[in-house]
Amino acid sequence: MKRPQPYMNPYLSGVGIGLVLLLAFVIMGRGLGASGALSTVVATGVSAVAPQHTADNLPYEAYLSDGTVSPLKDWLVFEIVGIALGGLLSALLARRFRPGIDKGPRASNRSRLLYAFGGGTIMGLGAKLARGCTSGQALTGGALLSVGSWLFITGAFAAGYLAAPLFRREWT
Amino acid sequence: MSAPFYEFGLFGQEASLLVALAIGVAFGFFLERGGLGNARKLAGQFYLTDLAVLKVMFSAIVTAMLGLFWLSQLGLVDLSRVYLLPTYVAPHSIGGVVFGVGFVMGGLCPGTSCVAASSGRLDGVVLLGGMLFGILLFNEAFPLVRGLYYSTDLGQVTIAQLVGLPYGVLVFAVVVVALGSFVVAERIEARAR
Amino acid sequence: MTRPVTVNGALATAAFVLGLAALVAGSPYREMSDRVWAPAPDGSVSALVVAQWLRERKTGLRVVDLRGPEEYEQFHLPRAEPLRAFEPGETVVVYGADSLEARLAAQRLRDAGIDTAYYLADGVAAWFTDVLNPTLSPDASPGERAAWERVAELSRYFGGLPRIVSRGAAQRSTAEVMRRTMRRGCAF
Repeated sequence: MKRPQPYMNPYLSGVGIGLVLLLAFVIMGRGLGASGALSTVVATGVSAVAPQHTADNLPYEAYLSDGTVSPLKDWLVFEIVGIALGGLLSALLARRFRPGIDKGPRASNRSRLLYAFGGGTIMGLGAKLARGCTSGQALTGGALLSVGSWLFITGAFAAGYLAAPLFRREWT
Repeated sequence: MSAPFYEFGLFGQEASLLVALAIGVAFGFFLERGGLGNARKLAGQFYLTDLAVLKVMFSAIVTAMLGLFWLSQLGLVDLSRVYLLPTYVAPHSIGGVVFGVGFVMGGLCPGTSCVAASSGRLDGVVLLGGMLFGILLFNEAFPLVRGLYYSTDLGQVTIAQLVGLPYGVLVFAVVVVALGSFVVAERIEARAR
Repeated sequence: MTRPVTVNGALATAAFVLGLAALVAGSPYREMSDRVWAPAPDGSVSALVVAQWLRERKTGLRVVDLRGPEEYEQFHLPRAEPLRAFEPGETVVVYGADSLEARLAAQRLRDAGIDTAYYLADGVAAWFTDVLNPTLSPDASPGERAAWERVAELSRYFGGLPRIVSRGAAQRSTAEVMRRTMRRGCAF
């Protein structure tokens, strides 16, 4: 089996992402995002099974449309599909596509998946409160020197380092 | 000047969705190139073994920031038409802290979890599921956090405006901090090896 | 021995140079001087711009005086036209950010003899709430439902999204409606 390629120079891949973000600014007048697309997915799903519940409900309604066009026809949803496709393309080209689970040497699959779900849940809460995630707030807002975005970046990194000892067993 | 193109009516909503797809593909491509689709690599940031997250994110921020600044200076982009995210001090700070805890716990963020998932990683898929659940929880609990969510609203404000310094000074400051952090990061990684 | 140029070194140098230049570059937003000699994004122009355009006899330039006939006679800008530029018999609709200025403008037009001059109630936001995002309550009367078909058809013609929502949701502020139509962040 062919060996996977080494990763690209992180600074270069960062510059690449920065140029993509710049393109978004220049073409669309907006930046990137990810959590917003997930909010749309949640709202669409919930309204499909319980439309009365979403009808008068601001956090859901904000991501729904009138019913004549799918709420999934949304900029961020298309973008996040693109993210998945782009990741797949790069992984295939670099021979890094590999079904499996990334985890630390001492972690079990079970604990990794439990922590993945738990961490994802917590991030979902944080991203909703902060009106964005690393793509929307950190990258986009960071590049625009937005005060709130830099507060988000600082808070996230500080909390990550402070909470790291709790999960040492999972990653090291 | 006629950029941002969409803001000046150069194309419509349907085309903008294709733009979204293309931009997403490029974004995901470079994320995977830099290895950010690998949770273990990402988590290394917080154990000072692999600082790829810092390098990639900060490089991206500096690139886009400099690009936008200079394109505006040259009159090629109307910076006032680029959407500036509004600042809500408490939600951004607290949300950031909460997000950071989840990040070191899960090892991926929303964008990178998509990359991980499409690279075949089950933990990426599960993490995505967790995020959908977290969003659902937030929506259901919204009446409880509504007050916090809309509090401490400063509106659209840049750091430059907040501290009363010229935009260019802040640009320079961010570049210096970024480069300095890269030097430190290289030292830390060298010692970890 | 010369130090080899590394990729990282080149990137760092480029970033530093661009950042350093930014330090002395001045504001990336339109400069004060630009604003004096060019229209602003919101459509306002300074008097100096108007003077410049008049002086260079800008093609197709029209200057409109919104005040009444007495003020106009007393003084008006060079080559300015009063609202009499519109003909009686024409149906003229004026609109503004809200009703106030438009109502005054419509009154001026009527003073000038154009009886079919109207102003858009509630300003431009009304286009969003009434045409682009009209709503019907689920417990509407049959009469309301009959009228709704016409409203919805008109709305769709202009690319709007007619919706049937409960009364509470429909009473949201116009600012919120406009903000959602043009949502560009991950927020609400």
